[in-house]
Amino acid sequence: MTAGPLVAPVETAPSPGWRNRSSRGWWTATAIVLLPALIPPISLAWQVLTKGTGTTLPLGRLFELFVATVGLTSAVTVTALTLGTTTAWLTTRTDIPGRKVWMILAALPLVIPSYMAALTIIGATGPNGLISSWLGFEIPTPYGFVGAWLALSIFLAPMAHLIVSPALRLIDPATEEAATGLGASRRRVFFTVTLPQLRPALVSAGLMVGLYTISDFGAVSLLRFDTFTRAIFTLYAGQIDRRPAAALSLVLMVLALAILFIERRSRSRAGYTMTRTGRVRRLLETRGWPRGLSLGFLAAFAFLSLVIPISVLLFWLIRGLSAGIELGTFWDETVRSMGVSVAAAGLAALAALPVAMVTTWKRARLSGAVESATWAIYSLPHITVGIAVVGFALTWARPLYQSVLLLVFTYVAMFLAQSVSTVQDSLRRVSPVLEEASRGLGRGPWQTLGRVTVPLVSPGLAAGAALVFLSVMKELPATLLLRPNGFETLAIRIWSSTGEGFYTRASAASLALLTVSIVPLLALTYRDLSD
Amino acid sequence: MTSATDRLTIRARGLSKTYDEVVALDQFSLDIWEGSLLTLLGPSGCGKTTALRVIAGFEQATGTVEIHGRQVLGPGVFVPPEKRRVGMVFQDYALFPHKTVMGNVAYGLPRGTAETRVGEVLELVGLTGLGDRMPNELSGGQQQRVALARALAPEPDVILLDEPFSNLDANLRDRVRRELRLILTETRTTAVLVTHDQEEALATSDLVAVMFKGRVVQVDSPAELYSKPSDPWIADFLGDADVLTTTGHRGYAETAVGRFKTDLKGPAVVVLRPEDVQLSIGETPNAVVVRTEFFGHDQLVTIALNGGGRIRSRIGPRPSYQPGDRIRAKAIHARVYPGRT
Repeated sequence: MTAGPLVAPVETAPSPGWRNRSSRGWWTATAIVLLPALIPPISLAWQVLTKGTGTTLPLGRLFELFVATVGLTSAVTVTALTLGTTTAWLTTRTDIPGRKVWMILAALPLVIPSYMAALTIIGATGPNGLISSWLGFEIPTPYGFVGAWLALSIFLAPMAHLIVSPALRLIDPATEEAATGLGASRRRVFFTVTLPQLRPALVSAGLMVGLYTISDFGAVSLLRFDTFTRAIFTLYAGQIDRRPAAALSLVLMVLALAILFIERRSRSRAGYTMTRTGRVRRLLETRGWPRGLSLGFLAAFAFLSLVIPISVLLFWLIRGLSAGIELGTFWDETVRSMGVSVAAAGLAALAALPVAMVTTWKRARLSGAVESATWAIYSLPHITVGIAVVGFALTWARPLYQSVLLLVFTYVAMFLAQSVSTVQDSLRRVSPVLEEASRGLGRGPWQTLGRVTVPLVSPGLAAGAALVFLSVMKELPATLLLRPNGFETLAIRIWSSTGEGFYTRASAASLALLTVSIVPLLALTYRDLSD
Repeated sequence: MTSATDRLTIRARGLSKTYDEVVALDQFSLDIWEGSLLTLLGPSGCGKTTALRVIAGFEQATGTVEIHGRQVLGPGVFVPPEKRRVGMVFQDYALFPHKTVMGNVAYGLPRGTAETRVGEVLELVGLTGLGDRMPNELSGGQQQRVALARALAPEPDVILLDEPFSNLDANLRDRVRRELRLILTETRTTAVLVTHDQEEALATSDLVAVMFKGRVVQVDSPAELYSKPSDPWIADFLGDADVLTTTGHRGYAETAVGRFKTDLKGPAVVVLRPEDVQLSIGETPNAVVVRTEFFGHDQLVTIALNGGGRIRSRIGPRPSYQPGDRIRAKAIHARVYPGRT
């Protein structure tokens, strides 16, 4: 499931066999992976606490940013969850024509990074925009809250869709039948049986969408809505004193960790693991207006989230080319983007193995802490990670400052959780008995690892690598802060071109980025459908 | 309505259903009498679960179903499951994972009266005091009892149980089965149970309906069914059975182990239960011991008849026979069926 890596950690199912394996090597490897990743955020806190915040941040300004960030996050979370749950329900539970195609179409916009979403909104509206030229009158560009809310809601709804869909599939259909058999109406079944069982998925989806929104830098910057991330970048870029940006980053980090903490506390003791597979679910039969309405909704969503963006990109590209605008080549940018993405993806998959191993062991005392640390790092807004790494490199690791090596290591740290969770997912499906059988047949721990465990978890390793690849391709704020001078990637090119109003160049780079992303995405989607 | 139909809880007639050209039900007909426990027994894939789900209303089919004389399925009639007053116990219990035991059991009850009734039912199934547990905090046997309690709570006209013991381990299964039987008898609940385990069917039920390829092929009490299966396939399905071919002639079918009354003329098969085959030493031997399997309380002796054919004999733990022993075999009971011509 693509949802695996997006979902926050789920409590490990008991598998006593995992406990008995020799584990010192794995713990050492985990420490080697995880400790360096923890250093920059900790060093940021230390620097802010010891060196102060520099020019004082006015409390009023801080409050403004807080309200804007939390307001946007709440609005986007509610909207994206509603949209995503609706598309998930329609495509998993009803018999609408082309169900599987809609299922993929509803997930696809996830490849569109937030800054590209903002670019297409800007490109579609305004005096020269595509929609304006369709309609014949001008639609003003929705700068500020409305634009950011629209862009993020539409492009994060697929995340909710991807997390809620498998949860809907996993609910034991017999529980719904049992409720019906006990006299409950369809409405009552939905609200008392279906929805409560979806709660963990909805909480996970809310967490992911919420974290993504407070960390978002691209959309709020291009659509000019002042949240923490935009303010941090402005402070960083505009002042020689880096302390105010660092202080603000620390505040945002705390906010992100608070959201993560609230999510983890809100889990109840009910065991949602009682789902069983192998039962056939009857799809809800739709006819007449409910079917029309469902199809209309899905079509409208696909229009907004796919047709408009792609049309806008092509529109600007064609308009620019026909006006004779020099495009230049994107070959160098593409190679750089792919190079760092492939490197980070490979390293993240490798690094995920020990972390997934020790966190899958039941009752290993430290595994809970390791799991929490992995997710805590993942939840940190990328711009704050960038600030932290810059601060760390300038203070303690000067030779690494603005090096590709540091950039790649930062990517691995930021996206490690994605590959860890896909590997965990695979590991949980591997019966520990298989490894015991291998040991019993005279194979040592290393041979067992190489011949049994790794081959069995290879789908998880591959999926994790694919996810990290996609994330790094799209990553913007940390890349902006950490890249060596002149190291332009596709994401950087799109961002700077949009900011300067070069929509033709931005759309060409966007199309290049989407093209490169499509292979790993299709691989992941295919895996999802055959699951 | 006649007094006979008053006591009829479920009357299913001519139910047919196909999934993608696979026949699940083929003119399935069945009567279930009030207060009785009927088992639908058949090999996997014979349509027994489908029959149950059609009766409960979770599946559509052609044909008719009446519950207490009220038509719930028929041409142009379909009463939804929530209005059928049918309780269902699912194979994996399907307990609501987000509700406590009490919440599960109270689900089908109107608000207000729920609390006392939940207490009653939990006491009935022996779960008093566990009302606040979550389903995942219960053992398999306890979950099964919660599922039963939940189905019993609204006092349905009939309870349908889909392979209710298949998820329990062997030693627990026998106990739970006895308890279930007791509870159903005590509450005079009409029940239909689905299983593929013939011992379970024979030990639990008042009546057993044997299903094959979507239809009911025989309905009888366990004892009748076991001793008088209507064809050799059913005989074999219900327990160990050996077949000898012979011919019917002048009112008898003659075999090496005895002659049995029959009206058949021409080719015939004689079906023997191992427990009906007795062995003795001395006299004129007519068979040789091939192998013995010792089970403690009894043993199964496979013998080769001198005239050809192998049959088995189930006898007490003594005497012990060795392969090669020459013995005399005699069948005290057998069923004769028409043979293939």
